[in-house]
Amino acid sequence: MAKLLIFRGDAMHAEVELTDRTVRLGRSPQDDIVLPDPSKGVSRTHAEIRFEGGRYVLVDHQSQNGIWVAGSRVSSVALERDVVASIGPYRVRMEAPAAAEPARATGTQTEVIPRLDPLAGPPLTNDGRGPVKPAPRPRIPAPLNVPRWYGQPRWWAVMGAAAVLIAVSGFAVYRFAQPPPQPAFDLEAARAMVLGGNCQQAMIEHIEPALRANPNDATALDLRRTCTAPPPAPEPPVEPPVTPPPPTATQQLDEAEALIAANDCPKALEKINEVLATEPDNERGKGLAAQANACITPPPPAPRAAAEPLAVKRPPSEGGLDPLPKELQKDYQKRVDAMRARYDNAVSLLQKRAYVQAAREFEQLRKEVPTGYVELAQRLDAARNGIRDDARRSLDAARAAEERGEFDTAADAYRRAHELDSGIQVDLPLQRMADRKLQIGRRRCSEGQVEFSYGNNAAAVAAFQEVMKLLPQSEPCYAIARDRLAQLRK
Amino acid sequence: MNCKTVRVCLLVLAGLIPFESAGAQDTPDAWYGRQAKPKNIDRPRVIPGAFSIELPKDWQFVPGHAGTVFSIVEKTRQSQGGALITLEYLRLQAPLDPELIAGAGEREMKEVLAWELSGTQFTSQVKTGAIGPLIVIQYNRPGLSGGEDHVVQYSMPVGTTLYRLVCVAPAAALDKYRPVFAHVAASFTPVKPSGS
Repeated sequence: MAKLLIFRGDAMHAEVELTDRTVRLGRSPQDDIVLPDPSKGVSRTHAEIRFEGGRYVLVDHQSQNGIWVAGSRVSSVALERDVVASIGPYRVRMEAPAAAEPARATGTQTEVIPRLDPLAGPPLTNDGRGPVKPAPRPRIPAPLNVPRWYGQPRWWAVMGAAAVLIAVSGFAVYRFAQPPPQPAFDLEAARAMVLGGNCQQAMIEHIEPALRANPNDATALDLRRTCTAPPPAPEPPVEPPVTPPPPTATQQLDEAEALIAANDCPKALEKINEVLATEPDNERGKGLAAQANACITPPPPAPRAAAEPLAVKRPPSEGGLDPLPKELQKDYQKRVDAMRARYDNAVSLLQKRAYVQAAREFEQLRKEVPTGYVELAQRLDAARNGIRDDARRSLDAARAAEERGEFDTAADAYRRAHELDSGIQVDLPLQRMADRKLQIGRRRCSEGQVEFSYGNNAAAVAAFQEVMKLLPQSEPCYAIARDRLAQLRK
Repeated sequence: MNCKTVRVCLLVLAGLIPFESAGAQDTPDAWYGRQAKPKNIDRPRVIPGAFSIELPKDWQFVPGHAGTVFSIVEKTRQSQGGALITLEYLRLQAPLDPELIAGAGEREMKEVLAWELSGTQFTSQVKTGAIGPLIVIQYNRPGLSGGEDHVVQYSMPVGTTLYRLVCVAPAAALDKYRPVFAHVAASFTPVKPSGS
């Protein structure tokens, strides 16, 4: 009988007793011999083995990747001795000579077909799918009329035959123990297979044998690198969206209970409310709702004070302030910084001789800072001294202006001096200047009229203009000056 | 009160009486006033429509032109210096009110100072005459004969005309001419406009 041996890599995948029945090989479960191959190097019905002309022929069933023998793609191959055919990652070969008698295929891979007389031809079979075939000639001689072991004249012949049989069996066992012969490798064919996407077969049939023969074969190494490169990640299959059935009230309440246990009470309450919306009398739901409501309590205040240090007072001489009750250090620091900024601003004003503003700022600061704050007292004194100096300067300027007869300037300076230093009395100087203005205005009015009478109009105009500056409108001479000027302008 | 005390009081009162009498009297102005019975003053000379004035007798009268109305000069020997009186006038743009006379006096003084660069002892007074307030400016200046001349200028505003009566005499003989100048000045009388 013939046995088909199927290898995947170095491992035996299956051995199948062949009969005269055509056997189909492929990835499909409907095939007689299933060759699983997720990489789809094996087609669904890849090939079939026919018993033709007394031998088994492997025929390509229009598969995608075909049947490869000795590096060549073949449409069919007779499964002769030492012929190894590749189908995807699988290699098939016959255990016995291809001319072995066919056995009735069982359709399963593991079923052992009863061994027939090897020398006899296959029995006449008709499985209904083909013509009746003559039984093959038996391969093993017919049983001898074996005499008794002892005392028989030809016992040695029997023993000799047994020895031959043992030798043949031993040879057969030896052959099976040997790894299947490596097919001749063809790197060009391997390249074609690689390009065709059949890396696995190329590796098995050509690349690995080539590398065993010559580990430094550059072409084989290159092809192996190509094949061993990580393939792109296959896209996950898109599964149609499955709409789960709506959870039952019990399921929802179970989930809610779990959520309550996990302290996620608001979410639990949502689920409970969904149930109670449809089943208002659900007692379990009510109980869980009460639990959830009890669980939902405002979060305790963050232990901020405990996490952040309280303010540590800094000495006033370094710009420190008195900490407020329970004031945090960072808040205290902010307050200290802000106060220091104000102080620095006031110092800047002092340096710019803006004494009044500086003193005002320092006075305000003094109300808000502890005694001994930086150099506040000294700065305030400096600002006040500056104000007094300014007042004195303003008073001097007022007197000088008064002497020059610049009464308006003088009056402004007197008032400024008084504003800066209220101790400077300016009422008398201001009255004196008012009197002088009146006096001079009247005199100039007289002079203007005299000049006008004499016909010296230029001098008259100058005098009248002065009059209008010096005298109030209530003075009679003011009107005279105004009228004369109007007359002269004509 | 004893007799000695009464006597002292009476003496004090007796001393005060003549003092008060003297203060109460109008002291005659040496530089402006008519003489009661002038012997050397001619009859008044009238400028029609303008003024009348009494001038010294026997002095040489010279009619003026332009801004000078006239001049009158004392007749003397050639070697002797005599006195001179000149009347000038100035048309004003506007009448000088009496209250402005002080200012006008200052202005007159400025003008005098401006042209009399060698003059000394300048004085200015405002006097009130029959015609109203007038300005009297006096000063000395070097004379042509080598001595000092004394000048008295009477500035008399009359309406829109300012008359300047300038009297010049040797300073050494001033006492002789002062009454003459005072009379002539005081005799200046503007003619009142008809119908006024």
